[in-house]
Amino acid sequence: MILVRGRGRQRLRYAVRRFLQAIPILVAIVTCNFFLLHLAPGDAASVLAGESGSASEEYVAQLRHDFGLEKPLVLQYVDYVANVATLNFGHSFRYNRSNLGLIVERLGATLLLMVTSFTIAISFGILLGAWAATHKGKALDRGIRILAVVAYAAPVFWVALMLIMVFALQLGILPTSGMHRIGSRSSGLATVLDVAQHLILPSLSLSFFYLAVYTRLMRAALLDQLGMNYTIVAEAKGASPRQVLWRHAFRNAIIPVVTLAGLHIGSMLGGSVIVESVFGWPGLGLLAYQALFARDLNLLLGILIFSSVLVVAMNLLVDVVNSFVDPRIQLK
Amino acid sequence: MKIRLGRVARTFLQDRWAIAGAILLLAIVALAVLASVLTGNDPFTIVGEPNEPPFGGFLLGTDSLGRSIAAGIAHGARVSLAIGLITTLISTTLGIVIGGIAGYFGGWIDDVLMRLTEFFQTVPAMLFAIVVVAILQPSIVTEIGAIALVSWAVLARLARAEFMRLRNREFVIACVAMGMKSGRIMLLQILPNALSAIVVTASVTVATSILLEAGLSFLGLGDPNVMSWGLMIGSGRTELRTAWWISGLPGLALLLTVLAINLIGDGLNEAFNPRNAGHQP
Amino acid sequence: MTTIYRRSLAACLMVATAALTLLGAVAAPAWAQKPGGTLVIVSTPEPTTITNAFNSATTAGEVGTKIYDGLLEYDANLNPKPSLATEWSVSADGKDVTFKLRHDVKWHDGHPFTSADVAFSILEVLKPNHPRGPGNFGPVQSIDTPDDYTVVLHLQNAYPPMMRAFSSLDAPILPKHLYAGTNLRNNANNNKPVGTGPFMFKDWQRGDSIVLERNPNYWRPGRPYLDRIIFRFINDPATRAAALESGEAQVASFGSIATSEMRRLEKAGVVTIPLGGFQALAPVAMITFNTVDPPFNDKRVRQAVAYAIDRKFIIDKIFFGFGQPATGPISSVFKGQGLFTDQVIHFDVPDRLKRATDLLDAAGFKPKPDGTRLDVTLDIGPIGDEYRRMGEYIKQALKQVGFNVSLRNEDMAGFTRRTSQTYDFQMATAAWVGMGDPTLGVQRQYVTSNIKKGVPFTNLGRYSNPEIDALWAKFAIELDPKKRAEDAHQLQQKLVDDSPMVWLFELQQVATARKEVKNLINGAFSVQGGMYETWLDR
Repeated sequence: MILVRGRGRQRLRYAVRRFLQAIPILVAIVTCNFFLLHLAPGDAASVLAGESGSASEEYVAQLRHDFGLEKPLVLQYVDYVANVATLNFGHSFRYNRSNLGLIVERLGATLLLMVTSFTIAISFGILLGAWAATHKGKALDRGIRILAVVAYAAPVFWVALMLIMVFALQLGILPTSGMHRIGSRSSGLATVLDVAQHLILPSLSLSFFYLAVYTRLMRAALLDQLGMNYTIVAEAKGASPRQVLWRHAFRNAIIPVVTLAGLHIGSMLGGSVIVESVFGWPGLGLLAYQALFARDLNLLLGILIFSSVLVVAMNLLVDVVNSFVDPRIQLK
Repeated sequence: MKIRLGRVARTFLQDRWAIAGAILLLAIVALAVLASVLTGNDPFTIVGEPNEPPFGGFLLGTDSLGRSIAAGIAHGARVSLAIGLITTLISTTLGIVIGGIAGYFGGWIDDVLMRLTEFFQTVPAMLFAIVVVAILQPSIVTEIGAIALVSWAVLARLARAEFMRLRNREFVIACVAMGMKSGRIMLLQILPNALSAIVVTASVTVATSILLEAGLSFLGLGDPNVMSWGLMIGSGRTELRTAWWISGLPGLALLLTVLAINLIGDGLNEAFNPRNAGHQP
Repeated sequence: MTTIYRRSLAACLMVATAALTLLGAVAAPAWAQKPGGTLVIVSTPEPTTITNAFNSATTAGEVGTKIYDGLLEYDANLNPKPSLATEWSVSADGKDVTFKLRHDVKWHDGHPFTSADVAFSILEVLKPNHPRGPGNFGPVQSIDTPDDYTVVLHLQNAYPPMMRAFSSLDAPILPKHLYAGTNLRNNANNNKPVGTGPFMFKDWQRGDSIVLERNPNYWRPGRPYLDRIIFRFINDPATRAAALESGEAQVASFGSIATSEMRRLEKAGVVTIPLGGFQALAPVAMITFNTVDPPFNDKRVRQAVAYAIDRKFIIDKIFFGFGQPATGPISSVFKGQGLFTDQVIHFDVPDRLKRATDLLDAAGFKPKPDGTRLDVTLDIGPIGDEYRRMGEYIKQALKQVGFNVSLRNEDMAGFTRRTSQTYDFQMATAAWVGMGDPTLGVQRQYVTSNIKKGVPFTNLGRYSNPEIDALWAKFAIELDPKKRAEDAHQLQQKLVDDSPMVWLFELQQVATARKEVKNLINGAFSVQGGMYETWLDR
């Protein structure tokens, strides 16, 4: 009992330490990104004026003044950090709205896309991996391995375009892009179904690569577990092969899959830039991409910081959860 | 302790998948090397009508400007392979240096370097690469730089773990006792032993670098003076329904190359670390 | 007072009433306009604001022109037609311009529309805030409003070009009661605009769509036909084309889908691409030379480039026929007004390649052992895949005569900085809009006074020629149409001879519409107009 409580306190301390460690990283992210972004040639005013196809001197000067772009960079930085500390991510030049508002508005779409993609990738990855492992060397195993190795090599934008071509254009059963049916005024269940329909292709595209990774990992981890002493011992003790598989090996094999998935949050956020751009999915990735080309630097900074926080938080969560699940993890 | 290369080679050669991958990659390398001989010096030359389908007047058809797809793929192979290799070389070197120093010395150096590594692992790679390339102006150099910048952190973590593990082995401790310089120990004693794990991961980095480059080009951030597969796919994507082969065939080439490299990576992994087979994603 | 154009309000109303009675009396015949339906337009990029008084980006105009009206509209030859103004007249000295306004117009919020709105919009909103405001309304000194429905503009000098700048695209009229005394640019109404136009703002889902609803109280009786217009913003061109093909969208603005896709869908019978609706913009694609630095400070080198490029190839193979060769700075759209001439040096001659190499020889650029003569850089304007491909073609075309071209792809911010701030470029491609009059859209690229560091799309090549400056100045204030035409012809001849640009082709900036969309084009506008005549044949 005492032992357990001691471990609990240790865990808490571990979580707090991990959290504190994240702070300098976040500060570094704010600083590095701020100065990196301000290395960029041209500013928001020149983009707005450029998109206009024509502009007068007065117009550009007015824009620069409105955006506070005439101030020295260091002053802009001090202003920015002071604002971020109070969760104020500034105003978007382009949308003329609060960046935080814009980000929060788009966060939902991205989270929906990512959670769906992870669910597909993890559940099917575990399923296929386990299936392959239990049929090692058979045709099924070989088929799944080939599928995984091809899916692993397929570029995400390529998969996205192919899915659009087949399911949206040739078969015409799924919409090409967006999150809602155009001009739909549905509500309740109809809206849910509508969004779900739009979600299928983007989430499939985004999950393809990860599905391959988890399938391969699950297969290897399960084979590892099945070859381990304790399963052999358990079997020798009279547990049925089925029990051994599901009660022991399967559970242990999932741990690396879930851990890796936690580490993939950042990579998937990056991938969502491409997927959201192809499918016109109104999420953070698309917003970041547009903000970059519009030199809407404060908005882009906000998104980078936001997504970094998301990654840090998820990594933290995975670490802490794993320390509960897997007693072998050292709480150094 | 030393890797027994004979056994590694034997294991590798027994792996049919790895052999298939190696043959495929060799073919692609041959294509890259012979690109000029097979298809002329300049893949940008306009040779015929736009959007000619494959197996008509031209082996693999023409693109939207009337340039040969075959020439583009052959020359693109050079670029993709070169980008994959160069970025991997840079990011592996960076990773070994930073991870090695962190793992060998430990203490505050380790802390500082690992925070740096975490920084690069925290910002989403694709997003960061896009930002860097857009800001420094798209060119082959900025592409390579950006990809290397977002790729080294994984290798650094791996190198750190390996160096930490080997740091306390008898043969290293013996060298320290003999008064050997740290640099020499790291380079001559630890690195050769850590290399097997690093090589396996690096082979995967080649593949992901090639994919990253294609992704950047797809988003319009490629170098317009260099014929790369990413550029071809990107420029043909608007024509996907009119002339699928413009981005379809380079896409296939891309897929096959990445596939080949991954198969080899798997084979290497199996050969170097038979216990962990398959753990490398 | 010399009346240039006069339309009787009464006559207008009579015709409209007659048409209405006719429609009401007989059962609607097969060809009759059918009211109702939702029209979805795919466009790109998503605008930053939809109040096009502060922003002249294409998509801002596409949305804004549905919500706001202008004082005038223009037919395909850019002749003015009534809109909010029923009559207009210009005094003999050209310094006073009088508009008579409609009496029956209400803002979307129910407030009556009056001359005060017009005076406020022109003097306080458009002139200082619109990107082209100073060019369009610079000479306007003051505005009188003798009564609620009369507006008199007092100009510093005669300025005929202004009469082409009163469309809802260039000069949308904003409601004074919502803007007066506020910070105009940050006014909350900019993103939920209130206008007098055929459609009312309903909803803007950022990153996705803008929804406009029919204005039931629109002053044009029976208009608009459509119940709803939705603008959809999709980031990927292939996906936009797919949306049009699958019927999720009915109209695609030019540039939002690939020209090759436009032709494919046309051939497949899915869409029609009526020619027109771009006259008000008169876009021309061109190469701008940095005329200050070598090697393009030498007219012979510039002309060598002009000779080396096959315009037909660009039009046919890259833009799939949506254009015609340009001969000089002024688009042939202005033919109707007599301003255009093709009596200039022609570069599309059979021995053009030889002429190009001769010019390079004369300029001192002899072939080096590797066959090239000089290394140059071409910056590709970030305005679409076709322009990128055009850059790749130009690289190949110039190679034939000895230029070794390297291409540079930058985003809009980098491109505008390089071409207008640091001037660190040699050649740059872009499309320029000529607007309703050469003074409004063309002059800016050639006059010395418009070399403005830091301002995009000004005189980027820093071309400076006192003779040309004087001609433009004279042209801008000339009241006699015949003399004006002569000035314009001289400008074209002299500019082509000096070749500060290569004028590649006149872009036919047409919209693509599914077959069920009717009457997309109205006068000089299609998607960039009010679209109150457009209807769906469902």
